[in-house]
Amino acid sequence: MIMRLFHSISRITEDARYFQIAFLGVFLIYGVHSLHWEFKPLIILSIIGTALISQYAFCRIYGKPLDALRSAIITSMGLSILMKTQFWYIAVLASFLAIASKYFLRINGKHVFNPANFGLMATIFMTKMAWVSPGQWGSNLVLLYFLAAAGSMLLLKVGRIDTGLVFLGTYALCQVVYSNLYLGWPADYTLHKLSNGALLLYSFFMITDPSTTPNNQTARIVWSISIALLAFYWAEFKYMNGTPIKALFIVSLCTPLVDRLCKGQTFSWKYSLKF
Amino acid sequence: MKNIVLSIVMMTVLTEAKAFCGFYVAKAGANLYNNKSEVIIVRDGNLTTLTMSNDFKGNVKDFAMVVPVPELLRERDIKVVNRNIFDKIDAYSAPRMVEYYDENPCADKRSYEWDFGVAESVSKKNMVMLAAPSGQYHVMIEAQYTIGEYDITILSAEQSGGLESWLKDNGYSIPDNAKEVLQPYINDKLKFFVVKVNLNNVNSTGFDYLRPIQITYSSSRFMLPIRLGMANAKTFQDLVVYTFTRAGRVECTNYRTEKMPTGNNIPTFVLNQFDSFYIKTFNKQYLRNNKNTVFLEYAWNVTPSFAGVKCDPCVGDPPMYNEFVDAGVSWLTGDPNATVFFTRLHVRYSRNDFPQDLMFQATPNTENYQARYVITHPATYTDCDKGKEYLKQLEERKVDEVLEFCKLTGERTKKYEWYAVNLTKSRATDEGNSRSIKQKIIDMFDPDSNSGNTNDENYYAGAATIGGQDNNPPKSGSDAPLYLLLLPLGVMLMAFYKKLVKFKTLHL
Repeated sequence: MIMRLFHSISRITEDARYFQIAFLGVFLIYGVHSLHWEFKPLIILSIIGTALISQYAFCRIYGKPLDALRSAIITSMGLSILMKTQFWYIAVLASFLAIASKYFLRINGKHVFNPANFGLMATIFMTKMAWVSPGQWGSNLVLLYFLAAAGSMLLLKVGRIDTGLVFLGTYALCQVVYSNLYLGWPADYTLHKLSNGALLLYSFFMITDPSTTPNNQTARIVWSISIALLAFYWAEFKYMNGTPIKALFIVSLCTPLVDRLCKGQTFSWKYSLKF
Repeated sequence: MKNIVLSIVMMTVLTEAKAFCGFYVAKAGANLYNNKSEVIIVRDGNLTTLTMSNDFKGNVKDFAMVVPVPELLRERDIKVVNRNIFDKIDAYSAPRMVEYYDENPCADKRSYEWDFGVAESVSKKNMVMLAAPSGQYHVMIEAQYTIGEYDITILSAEQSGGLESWLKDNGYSIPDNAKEVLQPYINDKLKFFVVKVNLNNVNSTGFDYLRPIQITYSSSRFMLPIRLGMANAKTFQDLVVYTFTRAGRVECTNYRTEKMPTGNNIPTFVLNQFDSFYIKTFNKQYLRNNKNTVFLEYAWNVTPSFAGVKCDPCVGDPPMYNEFVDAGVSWLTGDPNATVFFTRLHVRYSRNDFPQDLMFQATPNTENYQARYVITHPATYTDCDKGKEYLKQLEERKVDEVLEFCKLTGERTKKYEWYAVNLTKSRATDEGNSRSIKQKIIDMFDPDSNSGNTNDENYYAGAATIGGQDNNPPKSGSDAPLYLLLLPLGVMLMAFYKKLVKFKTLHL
């Protein structure tokens, strides 16, 4: 009996997406409980509900298997964590745009944008009634959480962690060279910048999205470096906020071209856990 | 790189510092924090108007201030404004207490609602005075103006060493860690806006204080550097930032912005000690949030044409057209329907907990917020059947109020038993009843289970003095649920378990 239970639970690990759902769920609970994010059940329900309904509808229309609902949950949790808004209809719009972008913005059989990233950016640009709070994480225990997350993802070969690590490494290197060596700030200045929870969340959960990163590994590394450089340039010289999200959005536009030039194997969730 | 940083420097002149250290008490409501500065920031696109309050109490010839600025300010970008504007905005947005009165349980319905505002603020600044510049330090004078009672010099420097020795050679002690900040600012191509008092003009202004200085500049960076103000690692300073934007609330982007608790029911004895109550509450929040959080104290839509409530209760008049103009809100001219949103942030910073300067963003969040605490006065006439029932409920409410009070301030509940118990003794005739309530209070008021640790009555006073936090260091209670980590780790273990099972199958 217990063995059967164990077996059925362990079947969950077949699909790395459960793992991501667990982590994002933890971040959401941690944020609301310990970081006192404003908990708005209506907004969260609007996001998750819309994502599931529209995903279901698209699966039916395109005759795809319903396991894409797991991706929809990941997308909606990402949106719930990152996007702030006062109005439920803005949440509905963002969530719908995120899911719809997977079906309407496709090139080479792959969707161009990370759905949460697209939903967020499009909503912010179009309505100006949503925003991102990069400061909401503070910089204390969050670092530990993400390191644990990254470590376990690395172990489990979930997603494409190489993109996240390359991104973070490049970004950190730029920061050290510019802030510490050129400007001359002490070390804790840069450490504080890098331990920002938002930065780490993008690095490990958004940029690693296997469905929207280039298939070829070398191309993927160049792709990550360019996101890091753009994010760094915008943050330090244009003084913009939440630059990794914006940089990912822009650089994603090049992904189809990169995929055409550099061949590689398309990712499938089913085989993401290789032991 | 024209649009860079703007920074306020309040460095300690060692000779002057002695005069600034102690906690001083002034008339009710004012002078809550003795190391406090206030700024008003008006942000419209890239245009920023920054007004720095100036509560200097020493000899005016010792006053000086250094403000790194992103660009060479022209004479018309610099103004001297009336101090009233700070008083008005502070009074309008200060954390408030509201009083309610219970209905007389024995009479017809009648209700009263009064309100009462407290908690203001005043500040103290430790600043550097600069003497005449000299060429040998590689310090270049870019412009010099005399505006109102101030002589203003705009400097650029090549090396922090030059600037530092220039300051030192002119008789000013620079805090040791000022250098680690001066150099990055110089490398960032900042100019230094240096202010001292013009002794000839100071008496002709007609004011008996030094007026706030206001500067306007254009920079895409929305920030308030605080690093230079941190004279030594053990000191903390309070900074209240009032902002006006078109769209909505301002929040910090590189530190957490947390709301102060609001709407709590607190005991009536707080009426006469709201100042100390709020300081203790703020202290508790500051420590709970790991000393590196920015607190929201007020946020409201103050659009002049907006007819709705602009505070509830109002402890000061909402800012009017004149105040907006004085603060630098320029977009109302010619567009009477333009929106204005006001945010009040309170940050207590120190060198170790705030390694970066404060950076902000204006969000579209238009939700109103105020730090507001409620006291409810009991009814006085209770000599009837309903009155007895009322008294019973009152006892329980008072217990709750004390518990709430102690939760907010971190004080020990034991100390406030009298608040709930005395009333029982004097009014309730049923001895058994009074005992049971007393028991409840004792049960609830278990001093050991109470996490409050700022039991020193004068903690807030000590906290406000330099180094006070180290004399009485309560634990900063982080309530992060580490156990949450178990969930994903559990999933991970499952995966490993599966791996083992597979392994077994393979080998079998």
